[in-house]
Amino acid sequence: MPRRELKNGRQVHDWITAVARRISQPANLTLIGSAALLWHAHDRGIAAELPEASMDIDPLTDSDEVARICFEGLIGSEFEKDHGFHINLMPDAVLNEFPLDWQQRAVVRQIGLLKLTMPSAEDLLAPKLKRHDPRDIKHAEWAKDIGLLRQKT
Amino acid sequence: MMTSTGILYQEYSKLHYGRMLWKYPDFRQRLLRHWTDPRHPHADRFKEWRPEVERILESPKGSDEELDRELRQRGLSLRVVVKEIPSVFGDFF
Repeated sequence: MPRRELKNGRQVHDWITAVARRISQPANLTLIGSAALLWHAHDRGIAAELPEASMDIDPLTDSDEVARICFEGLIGSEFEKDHGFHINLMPDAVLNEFPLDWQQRAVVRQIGLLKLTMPSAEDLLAPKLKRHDPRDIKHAEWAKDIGLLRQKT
Repeated sequence: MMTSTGILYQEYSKLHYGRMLWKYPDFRQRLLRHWTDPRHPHADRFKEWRPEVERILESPKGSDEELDRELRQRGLSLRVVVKEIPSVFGDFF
């Protein structure tokens, strides 16, 4: 069974930092899903934990180096045993589910050679709310409650 | 929540990143060792589908529609073959 122990933004931040330290070429990394919401919370100094912990970080990358690192953290890996969550690579086509202008609202950070792109909390929630999954709805309420959203969803 | 060729994103990820890393002999060998490992539950099935799976992993990004058309002429589809790309999981990768 996959572990479900991803509950605070520090875990996401630390993973991104570890990836940035390991690469030798410029790379793009975009996060979606609950892990990205957690990152936004951490970035704003909000220590709130997800109401139901997540099992994975969902990254997209154009970098062979980053993809290789992600493969080391797939489900059932030693990485998962050590960290309590796994890495679930997603294809760039998934961004078609986001509003067309999501990049205009995204937060972009350069961490060494790694260019990190985080869609806004509102845009992260758009595909989640289409699924009507109870956990996704809880995460949307959590994001609203802790002040990650600029407008009502 | 699927691609233009009707493949769920989660499934399509195996093709997307498989293609990206298949060009590296070391990574290709690592995948093949994993997929043919007796501990992998789909090892036998992979043996059956290996030529088709290897062919789509060797194909360039952007060739999905063309591949799908060609596969459909043989009674298959890109969706069917992508499903046969074994997952990577466990501590034996």
